[in-house]
Amino acid sequence: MKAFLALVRLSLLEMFNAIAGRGSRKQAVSAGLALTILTLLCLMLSFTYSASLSVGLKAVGALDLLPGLMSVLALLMAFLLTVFAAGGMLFGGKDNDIILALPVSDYAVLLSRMLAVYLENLLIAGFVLLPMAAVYVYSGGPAGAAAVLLAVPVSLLGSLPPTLLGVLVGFAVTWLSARVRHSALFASAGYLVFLLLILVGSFQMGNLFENVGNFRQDIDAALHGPLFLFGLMGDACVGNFPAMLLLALVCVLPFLAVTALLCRSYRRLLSRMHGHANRGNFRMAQQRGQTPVSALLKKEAARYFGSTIYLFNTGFGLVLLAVGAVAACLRRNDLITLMAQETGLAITPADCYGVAAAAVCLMLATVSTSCVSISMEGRSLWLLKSLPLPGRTILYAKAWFNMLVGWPITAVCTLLLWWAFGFTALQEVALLFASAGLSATVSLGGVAVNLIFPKLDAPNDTMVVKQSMAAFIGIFGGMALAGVGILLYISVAASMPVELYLFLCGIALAVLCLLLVRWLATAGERRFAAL
Amino acid sequence: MLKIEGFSKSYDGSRYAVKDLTLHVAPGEIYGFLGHNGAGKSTTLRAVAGVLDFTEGDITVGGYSIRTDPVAAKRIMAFLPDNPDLYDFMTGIRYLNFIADVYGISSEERTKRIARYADAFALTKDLGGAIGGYSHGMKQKLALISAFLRQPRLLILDEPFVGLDPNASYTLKTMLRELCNEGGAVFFSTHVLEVAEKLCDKLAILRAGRLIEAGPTAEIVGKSNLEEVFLQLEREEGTQ
Repeated sequence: MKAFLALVRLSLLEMFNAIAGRGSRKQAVSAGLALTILTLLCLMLSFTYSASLSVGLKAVGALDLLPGLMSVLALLMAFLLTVFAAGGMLFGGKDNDIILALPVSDYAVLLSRMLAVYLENLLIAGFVLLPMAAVYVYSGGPAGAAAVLLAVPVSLLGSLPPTLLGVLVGFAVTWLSARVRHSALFASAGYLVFLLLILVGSFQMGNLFENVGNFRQDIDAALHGPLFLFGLMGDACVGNFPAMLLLALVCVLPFLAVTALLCRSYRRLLSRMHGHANRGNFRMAQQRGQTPVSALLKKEAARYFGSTIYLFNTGFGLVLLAVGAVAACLRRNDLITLMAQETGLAITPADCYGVAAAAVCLMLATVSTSCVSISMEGRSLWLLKSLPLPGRTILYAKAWFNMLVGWPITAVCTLLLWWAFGFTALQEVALLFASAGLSATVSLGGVAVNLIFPKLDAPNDTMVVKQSMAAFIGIFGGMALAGVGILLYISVAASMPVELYLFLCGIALAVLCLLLVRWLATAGERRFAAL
Repeated sequence: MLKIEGFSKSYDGSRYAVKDLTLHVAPGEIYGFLGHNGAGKSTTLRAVAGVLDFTEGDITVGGYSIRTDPVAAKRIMAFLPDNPDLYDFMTGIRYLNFIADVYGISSEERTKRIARYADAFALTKDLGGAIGGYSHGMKQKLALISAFLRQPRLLILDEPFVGLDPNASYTLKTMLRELCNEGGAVFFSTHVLEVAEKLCDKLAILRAGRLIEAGPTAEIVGKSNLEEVFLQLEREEGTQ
């Protein structure tokens, strides 16, 4: 038990260091501030969503469904946001040799590493369920104020199943990819298929949420039938103690049992993943040269596409954007009908331009590979620093790669939207211009953020990509930038044509890019040299 | 070739890892850098390579200051750290091409050089494999091949013999001497005193960040052997 607790402490310490860093006091304070703002923002978003859903449910006399439905959302979100990390957390550790040489059971090692995944799930479930419980009490739900307190054990228990499912998926993908040559490519393809299935499921669920009044009986039956886990969570939230007890059994027992089964092949799988394989029969042939910048970009690409967690965490927005653009082409009329229902206005295809532009910008803003690209160098950073290249060239290459990942796909998606909704050429050019400005800003800003919050000693990629301060600020900061642009338009510039507003945004972003370029060439280069 | 003048490095502004170090490495010399663990050898070598910023003094390589003209200085040297953390996600050949691209080595020339050095270190067959699957010794060999691939005028090596098999060790010693015979220079750290005694033209001994002895190997060793001299110097400095 002592050994297990020591491993748990190690996992927590690694997580804490990844988030807060081990820099100066000033850096720790700014990291704490950024984290507080993000936490408040997430709580606010969750609260707003719960409140709007409760209004809809109350109107059709189905407020009692709120805890169950929000439980579905909480667990789905938790699962979706941690499934890509689970494999990395369990198998990507650079300290495997040290940990596995300790006199502790594989069960303890596996369980301590699963705890890191669990804590992430718990955080997400808490962010959804606690505001939901507050909204439920405020809306006159029968359990009263106790619902808020009961949401705590429900979150604690409810976070176990998505953790287990994420670990199982991570285990399966790692097990399969350990048996093929291009394992990273295989793992990425597997996760992509999985992600698309989840997205399709989420869209179906979205339809259900929209028409909850029509499906009240069906939903109720599902929550007490095949989706009983969510039903139990909902019932436990409103003070049903037998449901709470059953929930505990349903969540804890399978978690411990499956972990015990997985730990049997854990060490074998780790050995296979990190063994000295690849003894080949390479034959020397004529090599081809390229420019230093091309070499740097190619290196960034190899790093990016070689890490599933890096690829998905920073490319998630692009997948959503691509799915959305294709959906717009195939089901344009359904989307327009949905928007008309939501706004209560008669919507024509041309009216969709503003919404499409906002969606494109929000999705593109999450594509920030550069915000962790320096941290991802880890202990290999000496290599870049010893090259006969100016520091700014290396930093610009990282930003360029970010743009190359994000903008061309975005441009193709905007062309699909143009075709689907029949925007004018001027509107398309404005959208392309603004998205290019946003992509450049996010790319350059990401490098700057990573220079301020580097994380070079992480034990695995997951910690850098999902839990470092630079990742938080880079990805959410980009979304905040796009969000501010959208809010500014709604609040002060709504009378202006959207395309004109996008042109103005593009110009403002271009100026911001110039400032960032200048900063990277001066202070940024100095920071890079000091790393 | 390499001039270190009044070099000091402090990590916290008060305590110095290395203090007021002055050393000159001339073309054609193999210069050994000795000292106990934590003496400041790696700090010095990393600063010479331009990987680590430093507090005081200046370092010039072939007349170029690593502080004011780092790109020109790095272009004529190659550095190998004590633990060669290379890009695990690349294959060996891809890594060598990456280095060749950055150093602007033509396609024909790189093909010849890679073939020659990979053959010398018996790594050719493994160049198609991912570096993540290499053993420590194979990574060390790959890092050495990438260093020689640049045909540097100055080689900075931190514990280059660690992890190498006897054949590779012999090859490395031969190649270091060849480089110096062609007018290049080598500055390297080691804990293997026998190697230092046999291979080095000059030696410098560092203790707690301060230079306690420097000069031609023959003069330092005298009629004794390097191990005895080294331990004697350490003891003398320890009592002061």
